[in-house]
Amino acid sequence: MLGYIDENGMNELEGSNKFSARFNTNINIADKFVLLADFYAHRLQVDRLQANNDGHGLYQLAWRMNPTQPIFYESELENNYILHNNINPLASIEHGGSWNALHDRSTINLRPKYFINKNLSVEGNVSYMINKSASKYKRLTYKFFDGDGKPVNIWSNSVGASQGVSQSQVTARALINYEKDLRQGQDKIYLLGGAEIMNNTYTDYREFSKSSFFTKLNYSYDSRYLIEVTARGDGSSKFAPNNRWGFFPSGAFAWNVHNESFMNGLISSGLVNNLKFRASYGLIGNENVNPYLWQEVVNTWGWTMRVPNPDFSWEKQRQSNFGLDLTTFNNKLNLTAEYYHKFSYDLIYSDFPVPPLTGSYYLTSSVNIGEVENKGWEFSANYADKVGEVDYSIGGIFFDNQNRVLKAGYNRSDTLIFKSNQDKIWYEGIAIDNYFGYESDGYFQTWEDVDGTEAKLPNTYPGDIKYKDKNGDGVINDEDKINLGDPFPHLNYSINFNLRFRRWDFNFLGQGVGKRLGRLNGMEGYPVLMDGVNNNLGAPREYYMNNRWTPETPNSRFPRVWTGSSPNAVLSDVWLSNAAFFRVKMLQLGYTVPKIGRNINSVRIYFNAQDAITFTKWEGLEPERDGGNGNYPRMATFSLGVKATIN
Amino acid sequence: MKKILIIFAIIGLSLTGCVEFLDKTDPTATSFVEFFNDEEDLRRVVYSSYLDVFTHPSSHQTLFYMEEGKSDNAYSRVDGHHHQRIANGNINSTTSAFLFYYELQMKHLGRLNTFVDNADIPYVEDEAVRTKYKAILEALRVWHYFKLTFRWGDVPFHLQPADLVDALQPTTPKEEILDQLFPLADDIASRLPEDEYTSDKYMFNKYSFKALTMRYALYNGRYELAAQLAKEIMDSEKYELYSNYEELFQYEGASTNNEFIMHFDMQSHNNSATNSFRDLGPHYRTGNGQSYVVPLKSLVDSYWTLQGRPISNCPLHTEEEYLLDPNLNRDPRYESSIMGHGDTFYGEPIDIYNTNNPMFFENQRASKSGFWFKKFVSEADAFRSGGNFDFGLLRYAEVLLTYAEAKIMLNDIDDLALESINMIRQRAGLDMSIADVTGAEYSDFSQEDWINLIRNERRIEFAGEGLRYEDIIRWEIAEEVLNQPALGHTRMENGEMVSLKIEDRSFQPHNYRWPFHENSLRVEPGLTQNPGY
Repeated sequence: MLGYIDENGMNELEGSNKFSARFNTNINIADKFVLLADFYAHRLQVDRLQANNDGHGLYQLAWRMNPTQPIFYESELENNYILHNNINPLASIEHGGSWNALHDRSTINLRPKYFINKNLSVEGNVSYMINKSASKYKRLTYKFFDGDGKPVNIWSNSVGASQGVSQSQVTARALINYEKDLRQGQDKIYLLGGAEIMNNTYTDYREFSKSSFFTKLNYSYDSRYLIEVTARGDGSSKFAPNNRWGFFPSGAFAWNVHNESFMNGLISSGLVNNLKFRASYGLIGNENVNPYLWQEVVNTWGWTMRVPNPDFSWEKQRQSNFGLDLTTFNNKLNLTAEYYHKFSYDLIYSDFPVPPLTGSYYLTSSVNIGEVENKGWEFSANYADKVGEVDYSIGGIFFDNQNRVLKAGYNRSDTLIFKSNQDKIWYEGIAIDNYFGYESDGYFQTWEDVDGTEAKLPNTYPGDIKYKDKNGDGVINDEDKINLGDPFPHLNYSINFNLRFRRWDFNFLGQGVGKRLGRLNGMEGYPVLMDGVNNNLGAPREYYMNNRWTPETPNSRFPRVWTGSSPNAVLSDVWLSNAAFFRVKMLQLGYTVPKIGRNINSVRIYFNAQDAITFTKWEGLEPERDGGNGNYPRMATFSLGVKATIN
Repeated sequence: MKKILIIFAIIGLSLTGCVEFLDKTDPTATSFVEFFNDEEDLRRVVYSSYLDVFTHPSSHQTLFYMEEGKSDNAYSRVDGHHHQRIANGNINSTTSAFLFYYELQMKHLGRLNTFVDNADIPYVEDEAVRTKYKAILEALRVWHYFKLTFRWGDVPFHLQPADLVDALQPTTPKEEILDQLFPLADDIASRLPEDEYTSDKYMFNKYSFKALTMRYALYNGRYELAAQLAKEIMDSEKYELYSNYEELFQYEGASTNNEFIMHFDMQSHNNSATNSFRDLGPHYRTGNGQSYVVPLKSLVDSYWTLQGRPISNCPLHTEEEYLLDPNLNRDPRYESSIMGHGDTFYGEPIDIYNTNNPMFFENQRASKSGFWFKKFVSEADAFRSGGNFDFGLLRYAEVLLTYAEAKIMLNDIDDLALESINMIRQRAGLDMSIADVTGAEYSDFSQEDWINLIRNERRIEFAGEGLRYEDIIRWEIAEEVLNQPALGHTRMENGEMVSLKIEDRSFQPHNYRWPFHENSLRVEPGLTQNPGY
């Protein structure tokens, strides 16, 4: 099977195309020996402007511009661009050069299978995957002049190409399967044993390996009771010697109530078609970290990079899960309910901050620390029926998850900080991602107000946020920070609705989040770009300006407009806002013409609107994202399509 | 059945082979034991212990001339360089600058502790070499502790390699640390060679380390020790003032003078490019000047008149005339150190009010004050990607002025103290018929007059060399000079003097000591936050 997709971008230089080939085969070598072989390869080419090589760059540059600054000097020179700190988005489009990337992937997968007898089979699996990438860039010389026509900058010729880090992965697996009906087909047993090894190597010979041994037993008793027991041992090269192996057993049980004899009445009346209870419990391991973190690494200047940890090992999670499936009313209504509880411990923290006198470069170590709990539920329902000539179905999913830290360090009273994120902390009871910041108490109104308040951040002006001095020591610092909430979506739901009437069909898919606390971050919140340089680029959003503090609007939503560094630009409840939303993901109306002429079986004409309507009170641009300094926005897509099936 | 056997054989093989199969280590990593072998390794750790903290030509946070942006002398435009907030007071215990500097010094101490502790391991042909390098490593530890105690006061004092437990040290009071440091510094100096090295001269020798000790003796109010060390250095006759003040900071004199005592020379960073033009110079044509740190009006107005008087007290011109024209009848060090509106750069007059010009004061890469430092800014570097400057981190002029200041503070103003000031003034090119401090104008000077004079002399002599912030802290005048807005060029507008305004600044009484960052407090429970934070 061959595939080719070509997409155009926002301007003539940009776009992407992808060529792919897939070949699946099934070879019967001998009577009892089958070889399945799959080959897949693709090449993806991405063409972009150099200023936009991550897809957001150009959009970010535009946000950085002050709207009162002109694009061109008023001079006699043609296209006399003004560079603002070497930025001019328009010049970047016209003269900033291009960037092209190639991504290749190919995989081979061989699966021999040998049936020893009708109950016993052995199976192997060898797969190989290689990813490669390369990029090049090209910009031609362009000269900029100041308003007096004198040279002021040159975007000099720059061309170059480089290869990305390539990655190859080899996996080999051997399985032995045993399957047998017992008690004249009333019971069924399924046994599996196997081993797997995996090795992953990068261009520069960094590599990591994993090996596993596992066995699984399934037993079905009279199609009423199903039992599954699994045991596996996993070894990972990412962990310190002597701590590489983990043992992870699990078990599951299901009860098909509808197969019980006492249900016969309900089944035959069609009131209940399917009823099943499920429960499972198990231990799983997580090794999703970079390799070599436990190791002593000294650079060419004799400097230890991180504090090594010879005890570094697997992160573990105990999971339990309870579920219920019910099909009722002659298969018209499907209900599923699910509850889970996950307890994670020995959490992997690869950036654990250590005291500086250890003398390491990064001042971090990789440790297993802390305990976290996740619990959640999911409920889904689907109803399908027919009324006269109208077929319809309606369905919905409703789910939520709560998590909290049970132990942030070695002891329950420990707190844990995150070097790269000042606005997050761990202590017992807090959510694993959280907003740890100040509580506000309105805005300073006058200079008397500012001067009369002891506890404030330096350089506070009227119109700046007044923070609550929680411990009353006259200083605003970390001691006054509180847990302002978590950024996770809660009360998630989605709804779908499908309708078919004669030649018409209509589909609707909506998705929403009932409760989420979003953060108005970056330029979607602050009136200026806080870039750590001058903090004065960019323009406030209109929404901000209409809701900012002025002496006339003392109870405004936002503080005053500022430039430069500001006591307002720290996390407080002022920058947190309701990010609940409901979005119409898909709205589609179609009309099908059954048969035209001899060769065309059917033609369907449809109109599709994707992400067209969003209902939200979110004050930023995109309720699923916490602001930022201009990421490329979500697009609403309207399309008109024709689909023909031809003989 | 054969095939089953083969598969079982494969499983069996992988079982036995998997110990090795999982044994993957970083292909580029080495351990300290493997690393530390010979004399060159000793040299490397000394070199990098300088480079990573003191002599990196592109570390904007630690470059000595960038440090000027922490004081009332200058404005640093990039927040991430960590100078701006310290100058404008927009700081508290979560300001990242305090984490950066504290961790930088402390982790280098940890690193130096390991090096010193293992200094006997590498093979050396001549034991004198080991003695030298070991003493230099110990001297660097003292330098770190001088800096740490000056900024934070009480800090953990630990001179042994530390594991995760040892690293959690309680703090030692500042004075207790200093009481150990000064005798230790004296002992280390006695183990260092007397002469400046022909190669690697940026490394401490006996007198350059004594000069550093002298600086911190003065900073910590140990005036007798400061004067004594200054005298020792003078008596050694190893250093002298260079004849031309301006050329000392230009290619003409930077490499050939005998005034620099502590060197930040090209060898100290393995001849990588220096960036003083980019950091301090103006955006001119297609050059790469960024005006990261620019002088302020406060510094400009502090320059003496040519006769060595303050501009507010000169019979020749009114103060207003001086304020409007910094080039009028001024201390020649002004013209050597600073340029601004109306001066010439690369043969072209500077016009900071021309909106068409890249030097327009509102432009990002232009100077918001309308002034630029001229020290270390050479027109030869204007269109080069980098320079090759040799800098001095401590020069003989500081020894002379330290002697004078220490003696003034002790109210024991001897001839040598006055002569020292005169040597500085003479070399600067002041009109010595009036500026001679043994002359008539100075005959009835009180101790307070002398204090004011020496402080301003020091400010002018070392403008742009990163000493000012420590000076205003130790003189305890930061509350006064950093509680005023940062201003720039002054001109007449509708009959009134108007200055460019850059930012408001504030300095609280508790800011004389820096806070420990909240992260440090959590990682090191033994620390106590300084008062006021």
